[in-house]
Amino acid sequence: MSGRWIAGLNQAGMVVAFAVGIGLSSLVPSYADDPPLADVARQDTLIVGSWAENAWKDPTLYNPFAIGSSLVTGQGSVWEGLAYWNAFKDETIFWQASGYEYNDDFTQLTIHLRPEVKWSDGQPFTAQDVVFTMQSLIDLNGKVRFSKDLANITKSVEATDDHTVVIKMKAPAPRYFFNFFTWKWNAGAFPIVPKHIFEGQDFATFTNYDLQKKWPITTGPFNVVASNAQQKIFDTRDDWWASVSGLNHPLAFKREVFLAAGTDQTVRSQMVVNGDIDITVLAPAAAISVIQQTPDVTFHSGRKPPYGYEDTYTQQLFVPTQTAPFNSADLRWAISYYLDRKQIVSVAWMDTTTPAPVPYPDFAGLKKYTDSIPDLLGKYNTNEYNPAKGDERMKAAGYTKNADGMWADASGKQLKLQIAGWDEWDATGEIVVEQLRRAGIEATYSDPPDAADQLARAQYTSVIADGAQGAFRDPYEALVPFTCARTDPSGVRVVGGNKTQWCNADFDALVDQMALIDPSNEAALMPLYRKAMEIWLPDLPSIPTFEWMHNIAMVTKYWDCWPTVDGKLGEYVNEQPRILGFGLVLHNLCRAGSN
Amino acid sequence: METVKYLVRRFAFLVLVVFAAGTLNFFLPRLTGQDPIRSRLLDEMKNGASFASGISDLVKVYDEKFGLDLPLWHQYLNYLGDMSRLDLGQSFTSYPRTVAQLIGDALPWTVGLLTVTTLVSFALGSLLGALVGWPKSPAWIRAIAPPVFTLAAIPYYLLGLAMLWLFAFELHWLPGSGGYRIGTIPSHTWKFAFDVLQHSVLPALSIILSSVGFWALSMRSMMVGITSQDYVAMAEAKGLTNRTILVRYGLRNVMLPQITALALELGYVVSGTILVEVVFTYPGIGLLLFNSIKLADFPVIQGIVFTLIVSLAVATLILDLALPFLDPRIRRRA
Repeated sequence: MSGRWIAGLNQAGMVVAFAVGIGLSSLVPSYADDPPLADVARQDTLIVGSWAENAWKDPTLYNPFAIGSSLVTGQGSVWEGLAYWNAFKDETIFWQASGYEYNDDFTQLTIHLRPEVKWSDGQPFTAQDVVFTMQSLIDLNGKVRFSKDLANITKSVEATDDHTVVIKMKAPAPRYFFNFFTWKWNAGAFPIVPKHIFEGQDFATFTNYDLQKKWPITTGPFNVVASNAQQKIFDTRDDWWASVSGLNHPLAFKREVFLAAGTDQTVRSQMVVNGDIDITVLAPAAAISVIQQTPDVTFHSGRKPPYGYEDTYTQQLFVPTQTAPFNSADLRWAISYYLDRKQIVSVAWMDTTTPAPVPYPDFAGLKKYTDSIPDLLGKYNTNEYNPAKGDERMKAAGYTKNADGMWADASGKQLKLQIAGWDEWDATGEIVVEQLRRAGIEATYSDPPDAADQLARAQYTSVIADGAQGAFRDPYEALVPFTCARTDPSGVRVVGGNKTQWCNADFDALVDQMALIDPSNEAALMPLYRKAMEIWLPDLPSIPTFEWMHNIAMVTKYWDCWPTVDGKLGEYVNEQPRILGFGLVLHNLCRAGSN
Repeated sequence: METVKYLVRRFAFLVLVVFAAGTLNFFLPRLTGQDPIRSRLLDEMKNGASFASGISDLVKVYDEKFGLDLPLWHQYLNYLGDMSRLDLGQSFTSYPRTVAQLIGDALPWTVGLLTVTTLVSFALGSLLGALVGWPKSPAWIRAIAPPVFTLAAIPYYLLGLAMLWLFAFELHWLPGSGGYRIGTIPSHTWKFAFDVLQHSVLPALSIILSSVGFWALSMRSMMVGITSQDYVAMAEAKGLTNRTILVRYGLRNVMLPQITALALELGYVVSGTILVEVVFTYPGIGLLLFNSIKLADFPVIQGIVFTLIVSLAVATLILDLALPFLDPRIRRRA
């Protein structure tokens, strides 16, 4: 009896052991066979902490155009741009290119390349690479990233010599170079790929990853030496063209570790405090906490508020302006007057941001336009908290307060506002709801998973709280998303579209004129901008709320020369590791304590 | 013949369970109404895109690639076909990586962690519960029981957070996140194995501390019941030693339900412990599932849940087949 029992137990044990053994032995991670790495000391390593869970994150994909590829999860460090852009000074920093010029009517663009640029395998970077990359994208026309945008506007591209590219456009396009070749945020610009590697490959499926061949071949300062779902490791090259030519000093570090897997705020904060990572994004509360815990951390504004820098993603309340009751400008203005933005900023954001008067950020290039209309913003004060004025506008919109003190229309139907937002808006949403309820509007807030999708398709029926992206340096970019041409009830257009479906022919005519004007021609743009805002402000198609900030913690234990307001080099770029301009941070970093 | 019928019946039941659960697995994520491709592309664009009219075309290309442009019933048929071939498809968010590759990368971490923690907590808990429930155990055994039982009432992720704060943040004794040190590449070396071991201590401890009490509680209650049985009184009357009575008359009779529970628990090993893995950013199946749900990566969600369904169904089948060997009474009834 005892023997049989033990035999039974043995059998069960064997089954379990077998299953476990099979599981463990056959499922060793597939990246365990990557070539071994040389050890690099912590003080020679830059560790970049990712800030969120990202899509498009296959670690073995280094083709920027492939389906599933993303430049924000480390590839942005590996590739280089023709030029970079500093939002704080509205300054273009030429890199692979030495300059460009347009013809008089902006239908032709000539780009001059630096002759000293070389690929990491020693091959020269030439105009043929630019032509090959662009022509391949144009031919693919929508099948891979960036290709549709390029095909829509480009008539031809040719190399007139090894270092000169001439692009002809289908229509005047004074923003062509800025849109496609100036690296900023994650905004439409793409890298040039090596013709001798990509020729004959399928842009949609080619991975461009083979460590034995030292792929990816780029002009950037790194060799990719390891890449898995947790981290991407890039070792600095001694033969990087920019340091060889003297354009840039050799990188201060020997290795960059780009942590691809996100972790939560608490752990990330502690990693900052411990100096385990050198740069990452933190929420305002975490930013304040790490400053209290360690002297070895700084932020864009130094160790004092607002900590972060303004992002392009200015937060607004979007409403469907073609649908009742939101087709009433009075109602939209009433909502605006009922919002106490100072309270929102103070309570939900711990005073780490500021109210936004207009639907775009106040980067250097844009601020001068906003500053040029103080009289308009005084008359139509979008940041004014004034419940009495709100009440007047509600009455003008045909509402009266019922016995419960809530606004109701002529039929007695109480006004209901369902506000949908996203996770970062949750605390703010509750405050907005309370402010509106106190004003007599029955408001609710939720965070549905498809809010961004609804907004992008302009297919929503109440209020969506979110940002608008795309405005960097001239008012055309800020205003074009409100034009009739960008409305599309079918929801086909998803980014840069008219989210409120607001449509005004006079406004459109002004923006159409702006499209043809060089962004640097302030004298021509300023009057058009003013006229456009004279139409936009009274109608208030979207309700600006507050500026969106990026709070990036930069650890000063090992590295310095971060792009901070009070730093050695000033604010030379925005330091978000996910954006394309992060390359400038890599170029400029210096060792802590160095001069 | 009876045995064959029993096996066929059991196997048919397994297929039915897998089919029903697999069908739910397909439809449930889609009830959220999300458009995963469009949402992910939009999400990426939130960093600022001044010029992205081509995204719509890209959404179409992606949708075609993943079969999302097909009617739901067609997608379901494709899904059933893929699952029957054990083809878990390709991830939406890590394309072109396949779901099998993603699971393959994450599974060893989870299986390694949970197999060890489950077996250790089962062994420790069962032993402790048996001794606490046995009337002639030393007093010190009874003294350590209450704190252990208390730990069982605390969710393991809360224990994890507390240990994270104490051992990683305050004392700096152990690493608090990841499966291995930043900048290290997985390799078949002792150095890497030690690194992994160090990183698994806190997640493992949080699971073991909260699970030991669970196993001990169930073992103790069964052991208490056994002590009043006639055959135990008979064994005592025969003058058998305390150890013999405990092992041969006590433990042997209460082990059956414990092993049943263990087998089911081992079936869950592949699912991971989501919250522990999230708290410690441990690169296992739980973290993969958590991120996939957040990003609406349907194929990965389906792949992980399907793997869990199959592993649980197989564990149950193995248990059904193994129990008659463990308990002759079951064999006779079958």
